[in-house]
Amino acid sequence: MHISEGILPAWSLGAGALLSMPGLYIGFKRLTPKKMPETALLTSGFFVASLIHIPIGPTSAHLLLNGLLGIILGPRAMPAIMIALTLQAILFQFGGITTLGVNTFTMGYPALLCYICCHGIIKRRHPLAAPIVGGLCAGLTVLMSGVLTALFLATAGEGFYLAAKLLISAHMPISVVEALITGVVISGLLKIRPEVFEA
Amino acid sequence: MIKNTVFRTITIAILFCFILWGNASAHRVIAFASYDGRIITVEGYLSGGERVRNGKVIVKDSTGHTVATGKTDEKGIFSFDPKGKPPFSIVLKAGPGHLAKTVINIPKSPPKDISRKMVHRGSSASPSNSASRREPSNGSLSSAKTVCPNDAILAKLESIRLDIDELRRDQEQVRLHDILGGIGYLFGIFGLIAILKSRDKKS
Repeated sequence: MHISEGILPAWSLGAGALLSMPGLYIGFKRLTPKKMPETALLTSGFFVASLIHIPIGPTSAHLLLNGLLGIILGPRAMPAIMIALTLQAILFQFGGITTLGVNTFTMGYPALLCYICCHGIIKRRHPLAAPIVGGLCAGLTVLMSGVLTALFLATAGEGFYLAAKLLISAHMPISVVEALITGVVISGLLKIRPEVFEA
Repeated sequence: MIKNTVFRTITIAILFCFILWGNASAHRVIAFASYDGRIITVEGYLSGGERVRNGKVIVKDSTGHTVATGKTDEKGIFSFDPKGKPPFSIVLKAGPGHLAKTVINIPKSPPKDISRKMVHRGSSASPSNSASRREPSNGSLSSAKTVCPNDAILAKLESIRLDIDELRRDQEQVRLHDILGGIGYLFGIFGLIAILKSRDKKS
């Protein structure tokens, strides 16, 4: 899902960075010292999750966990994703520094949308509905990230439909895995620490 | 107690990620190009060492003209005849959003002539050359004399090239200490933000 350097035109990179700014601003505002350890732990999870990959076609797809991040962290997911992506770009050359804004946009906003969609239901702490809705939303978050990535790739002259088709088909198994992981995590957290969802 | 359980759960989740990470890891595309005197071979890998199969390759010469296009095979290899003005810039596309670039320069004079010169020198001046020693001193086999040492040198060069590729691949792999370092950085960054935020509140 990380767009490499040297693919997108400069205006597209700039647009991605600019569009990410509002989400990052709100996220940093909500990042209180009390919430810091929890945010750091989940950011580490996101950082490591990108190293778990499934080979598909000429490339491979990896876990994202942006849905889970969105559900637990809420608006704080945007800075968390940006910081993790920065370190991935520096340490492993996944994505890149110039594509940081675009990659934050494609992975951050779906996480935020996931939070908006299922926060109300998860807050009710229903032992069955919360994990199911959360899992489904997390699965869809991965696919939405694929669509947004395809949109940006279309600005580089790659056909949107073809890129979207390839990305969505490649991330279909990933979205199923993430839906399951997220469902299990929500179910577990509801039992042991439900206040974590009061983001 | 509850806090401990949460921390334990998340730690187990991260450890689980490490276990899954095992055999191969992510997602950076790497392209290597090498020239054996006749053709240029492009090899594509993901950073876990996995080969890029059916990856699209576009080769342009220094004038910007496309001199070759194609796809990598099952071994992640694509070869082409270097027609055009060197250096050649090679782009390997491994699926949407994943791309690697590399440039290879090749000598202008055909290496065939160089190797022939070397062989002639080798056969006359260096009797210790193992390939030359194996040749019978028969005039009719003079052409074979010029080929065999050449093959030996090429074979040696090929093995060195493979060793270099192996080292490069090994270098590009994601290592556990990098991941642990990354997690350390993350906690450091969030710790720093926490300090700055709490300072703001106090002031």
